[in-house]
Amino acid sequence: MMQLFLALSVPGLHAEELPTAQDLLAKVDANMTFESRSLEATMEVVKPKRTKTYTLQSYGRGADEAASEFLSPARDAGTKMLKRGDELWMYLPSIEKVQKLSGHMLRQGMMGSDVSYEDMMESSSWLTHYTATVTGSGEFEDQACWTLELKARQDDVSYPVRKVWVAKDSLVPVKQELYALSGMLIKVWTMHDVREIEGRYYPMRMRIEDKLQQDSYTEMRFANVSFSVPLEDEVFSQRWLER
Amino acid sequence: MVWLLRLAARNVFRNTRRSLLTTATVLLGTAMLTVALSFVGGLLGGLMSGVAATAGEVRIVTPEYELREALMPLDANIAPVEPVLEAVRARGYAAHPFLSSGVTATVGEDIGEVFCQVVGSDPSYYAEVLDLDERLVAGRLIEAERGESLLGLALAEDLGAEVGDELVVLGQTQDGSMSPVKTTVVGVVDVGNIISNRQAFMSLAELQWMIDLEGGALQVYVDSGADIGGAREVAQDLAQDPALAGLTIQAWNERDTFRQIYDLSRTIHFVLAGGIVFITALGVLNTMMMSVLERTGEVGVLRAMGMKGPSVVFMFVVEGLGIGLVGSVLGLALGTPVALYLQRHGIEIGQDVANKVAVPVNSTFYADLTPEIAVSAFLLGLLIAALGALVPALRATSIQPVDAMRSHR
Repeated sequence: MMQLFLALSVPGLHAEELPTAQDLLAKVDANMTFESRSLEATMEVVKPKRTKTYTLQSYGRGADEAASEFLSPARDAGTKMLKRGDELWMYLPSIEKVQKLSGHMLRQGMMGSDVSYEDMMESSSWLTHYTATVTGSGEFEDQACWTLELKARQDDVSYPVRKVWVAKDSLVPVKQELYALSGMLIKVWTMHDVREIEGRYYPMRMRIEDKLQQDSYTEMRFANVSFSVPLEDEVFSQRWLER
Repeated sequence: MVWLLRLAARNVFRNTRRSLLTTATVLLGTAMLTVALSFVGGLLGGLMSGVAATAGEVRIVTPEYELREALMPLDANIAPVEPVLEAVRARGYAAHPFLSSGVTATVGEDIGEVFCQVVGSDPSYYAEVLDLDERLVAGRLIEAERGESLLGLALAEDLGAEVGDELVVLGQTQDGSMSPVKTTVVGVVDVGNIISNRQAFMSLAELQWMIDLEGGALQVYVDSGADIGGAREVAQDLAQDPALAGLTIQAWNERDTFRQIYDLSRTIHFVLAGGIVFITALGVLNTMMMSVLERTGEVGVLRAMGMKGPSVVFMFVVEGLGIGLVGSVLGLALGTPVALYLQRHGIEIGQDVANKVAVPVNSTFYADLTPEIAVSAFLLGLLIAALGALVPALRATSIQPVDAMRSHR
């Protein structure tokens, strides 16, 4: 019964067969890539000694454009980030300057979180950068999943190996283990509370654990998620950053 | 006894050229000792003072900070720092909260051109420990609680910055978040060593904001106002205070890095001072020995006339001491002005050379003439001259008078 349910939930896949990685990731991309997206986020950065909470408004368009503005706490309010293609810009209100992030800066945690700027730069299309193999079935938080192993085609990716759990029903990559070339586990990225919003599945909570830092994780909670907000070109421009 | 002293004194003037030559050797030796020991002492003392000033005579940190110090862990901080400062001050010491962080700095439009260290502390640290008020090259010290900075001379040159320019530094918060700060350069200081001259100095509040560490500090520097040699006793005294329990309290020379530098400097001091004494002693001994040995025949005659061996030795030693006394006094008279000149003006080794030294070191090395060095140089001149007379005199009296008289010496 369960197998039947799973098969039905992923159109075109038969319960007994493993899907091809190409098909599966194409469906993941189709679900997670949107024409436009608007959401409010609360980002809780938990470190051994203290926890810091940020709120931000975020907009996205396609896979390559995203803009975010931090609303709190007071010292960070007004900080804006703009992703355009493979470039990331940041407006720093305390010095009233726009800074393009590059090189080692990209490896730093965004606002001290466990999500690096480099993580934010990633395109959702893994097939471009990785050779993927579906390794079988698994489970994450009572959700039946396909398990995949992705190996980087080039050296210029942040994580040369990824193990991904894609929920069979929602096609959301609910868990990722991100590895270095040496096989060392660097991060575990999980997605929770997946809901159907405007015809697509989207997680309302994400948790990112940096395994290189003890007792450090970041949790992001989303609200007012919408995929049908008309976004003007100006939102993704440098003029918006400095406005 | 008196006749022996008279004989020794007469011997000094019997061969004026020989005595003058020996006196000149002692003079030069003593002068060289005065200058060289002052210079080596000043060089290493200056190095240690620079290190202690940079590192704090005694510092208080969290154990975690000490463990990960090389990584500059901004999250291993003391917060709030005020109770720690109060506890230290209650024991009669000056206490300064201290913050530092690696940043990129610029005075232009682009962010992050020059890597440097930015330091944050209270005004008394800048005025009393670093003496920045006396080291201003341009402008003034920080007066406002925020928005002002001072630049070390080398950093100002690297940035092409002048007083009135806008300095933007891009640092990090204790969580690792990017944290930029904009200040106006209000002064440029020549701190006296290349490490500090590559730093930017800001108010404590400015650095606390940048690091997102309200009311905290990474280190507390303790200044007893006494000689840095007593730092261990100060640290032991502070360790008794229950308010400082759980914190690491270290004298500057108890810290691994500086202990190695301290031990190395002591070894260098010993080897250099020993080498200088040895070379000087060799010259003086050689002249004194030649002066006595050429009179071996004379020793034979004195012995044949009934003078006892110890009396002969005594006579030569007194002669040596007389020459040593005159030579040492004149040597001090010659060496002291030279040492004082080097103490005032120093020797410039050049910024390029100083830049290559990993520890705080000034590009000018100064001598430090202390009473101990002057007395040591004087006594060493005297002692070496006496030894120079004693050794050959002993040898001359150990041989038979008839053999001594046959000697052509």
